[in-house]
Amino acid sequence: MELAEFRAGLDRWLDDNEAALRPDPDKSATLDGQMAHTNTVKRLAFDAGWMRYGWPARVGGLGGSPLLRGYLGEALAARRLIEPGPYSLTEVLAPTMIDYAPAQLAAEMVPQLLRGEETWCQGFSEPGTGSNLGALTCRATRTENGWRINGQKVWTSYAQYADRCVLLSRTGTVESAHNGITALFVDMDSPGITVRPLQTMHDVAEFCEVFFDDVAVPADRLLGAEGQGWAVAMDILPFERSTALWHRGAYLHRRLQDLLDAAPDGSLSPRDVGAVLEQMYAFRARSRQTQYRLDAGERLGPETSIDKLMLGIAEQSLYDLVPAALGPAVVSAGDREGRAWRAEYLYSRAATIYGGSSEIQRNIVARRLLDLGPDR
Amino acid sequence: MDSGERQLFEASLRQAVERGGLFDAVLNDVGWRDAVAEDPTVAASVFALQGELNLTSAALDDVVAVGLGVVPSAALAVALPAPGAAVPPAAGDGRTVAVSGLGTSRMLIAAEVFVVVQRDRMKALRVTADELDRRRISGLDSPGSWVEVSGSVEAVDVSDVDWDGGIAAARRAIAQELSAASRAMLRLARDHALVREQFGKPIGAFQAVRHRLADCLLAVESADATIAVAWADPSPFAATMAKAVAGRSAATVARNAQQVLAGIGFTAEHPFHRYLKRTMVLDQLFGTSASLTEAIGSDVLRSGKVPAVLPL
Ligand SMILES: Cc1cc2nc3c(=O)[nH]c(=O)nc-3n(C[C@H](O)[C@H](O)[C@H](O)COP(=O)(O)OP(=O)(O)OC[C@H]3O[C@@H](n4cnc5c(N)ncnc54)[C@H](O)[C@@H]3O)c2cc1C
Repeated sequence: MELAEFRAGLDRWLDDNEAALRPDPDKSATLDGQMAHTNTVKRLAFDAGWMRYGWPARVGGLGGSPLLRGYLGEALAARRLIEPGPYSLTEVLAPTMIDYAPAQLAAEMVPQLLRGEETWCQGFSEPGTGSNLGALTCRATRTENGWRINGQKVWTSYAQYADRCVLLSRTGTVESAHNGITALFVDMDSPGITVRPLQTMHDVAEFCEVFFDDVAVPADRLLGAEGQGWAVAMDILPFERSTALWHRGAYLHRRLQDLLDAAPDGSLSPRDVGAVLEQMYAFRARSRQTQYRLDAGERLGPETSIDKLMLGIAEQSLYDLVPAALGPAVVSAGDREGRAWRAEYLYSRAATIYGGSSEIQRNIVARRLLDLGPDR
Repeated sequence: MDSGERQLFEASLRQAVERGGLFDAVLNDVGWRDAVAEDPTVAASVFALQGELNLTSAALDDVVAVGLGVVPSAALAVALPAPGAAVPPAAGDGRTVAVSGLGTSRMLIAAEVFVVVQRDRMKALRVTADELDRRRISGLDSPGSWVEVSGSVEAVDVSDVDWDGGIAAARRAIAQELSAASRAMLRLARDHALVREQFGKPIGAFQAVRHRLADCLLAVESADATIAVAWADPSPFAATMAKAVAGRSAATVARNAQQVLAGIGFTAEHPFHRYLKRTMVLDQLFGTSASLTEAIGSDVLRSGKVPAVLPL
């Protein structure tokens, strides 16, 4: 299916099914409600076919360009039918499964993610390993029929809801650094896993500590080869910085409009609004090129760090307008809108932290795009 | 032009520049005016090269002429808005209008000057060049690049003109030159960072330097993405965005590149300052980045609507 046809058909379907797709404002005020609703929307969109375009047939897709996925997420986010955070995990994790999981496993699992029957999480960061991902220590040891995992992950988004986890584990020595990492696909209901949600500063239990105590993982849950986990992780990141960012950018445009609607007259300065719009526009122009490179079958790489940096800047400057325009609501309002703006303002502070901090992105730009040589 | 023809055009342009001679003469030789009249996006190639190599020319006259809906000619100069302004260089409803604007070097040699007059509808007239005072400006940019034009002229034979089209064409071309000049400044700083050693290593090994250069690339790529949209979408809005983003990016790149180049970059001998000065002048033309940003924000606040997003 071509983009124009997809767009027209999807827009019509979204209009026609507005009632079923629109989140209940009371329920969607909690993370539980948001997670459940995002999965409901995915199921409806999957059953109607929309969610299957842009994915290969061998994982339950209907084929077609990844642009179709780009537009689907954009439309859902711009209409505020889904939460872009949980929704984007699909864009981040499904491509990894398609590229690295045994064919059988991908065929079994990916449709459940696409259809919103399951939630998955991404277990990379650890207490001692944030930016320096190559130093992770959560250990996987070989057993007769698979792996046994011991260790801890942290900041694992939505782990309390997750059915599966794409986990990076240490299989080599710690000195083996990037070469001794292995990616595994782990069932979150396996005995020995303890998930402890962490309250965040924006008052949502967005991420968790995840403890692994002698957790058995079958051999066929290996993603890629043993010791290839770094490559798996590096291939995830460009996805995190392409389609998922496109969706988030669309959401931000919507929120800028919401902010204009809510802001009292005279509370926003033309210069600030103009600057934010320019940043969002430039991000969209850049990310659009990235979507088309994906469409052309190009392998995305370090240049997507530019996209990530641009979005972080745009997102934070957009939300910087919020206290200026809606100060009283942000600091004290107990109503739903006030709480939402407050939470989103606070969440925007993480836009330069998660998915590789802005400093790490600049390191990548310097090393890989400007070819400045080693940084020591 | 298709992309093959475009590549040929760019290659012959670059070769001709390398052989030497004034850029205006080179542009004449490659048939630039016919090309841009037929396909305005050819200006992307010319202004990118002009920015990269810090060249000057009268190509802006041709670009604006085409945007205004006028056939460009080497004998036709266009009166541009005065530095800092984005309004026509002339105003007045009476029989005589006061002209006060800017010209490229062509203003000194052209037979005719095309003047847009601000009335309730934009009007244009052609004036014999002798009727106007034309004076070289000695400012930041290389001598002879710019000319001040002023005078009082009879408003006979006025006609309608597409002022918005002229402005948009100018903004696209200037944005392109700004970003190419920015990329050139980044290249100077980046190359310097690889060879200049302090504390026993290249300064490019220091993260403070690396992050400055990364911010330069971020700025240039932001501008280029926005400019690419403006070439594909002829709307005034896209052109305004491109000019605003490119102007701001150039200032970011200039600031960071200057710091990395440090002492050597402060000398008159080093090419850096010529790029810096050129980008400062370009930012003044057809609306500064600061004024465009403010105007964009004012429009949004007045209408209460975020402009429609660029479709996928
Ligand atoms: C809301 C949120 C959701 C998250 N979700 C997930 C998830 O689902 N799964 C997951 O695995 N992780 C997740 N993370 C973790 C995230 O990836 C890490 O927080 C991030 O990689 C930074 O690691 P850190 O917090 O340990 O900070 P550190 O690595 O300790 O960094 C601290 C500071 O030092 C800077 N710094 C570190 N190294 C360098 C360097 N070499 N050069 C310059 N500066 C440097 C950093 O930029 C940062 O400013 C999430 C984080 C947040 C905030």
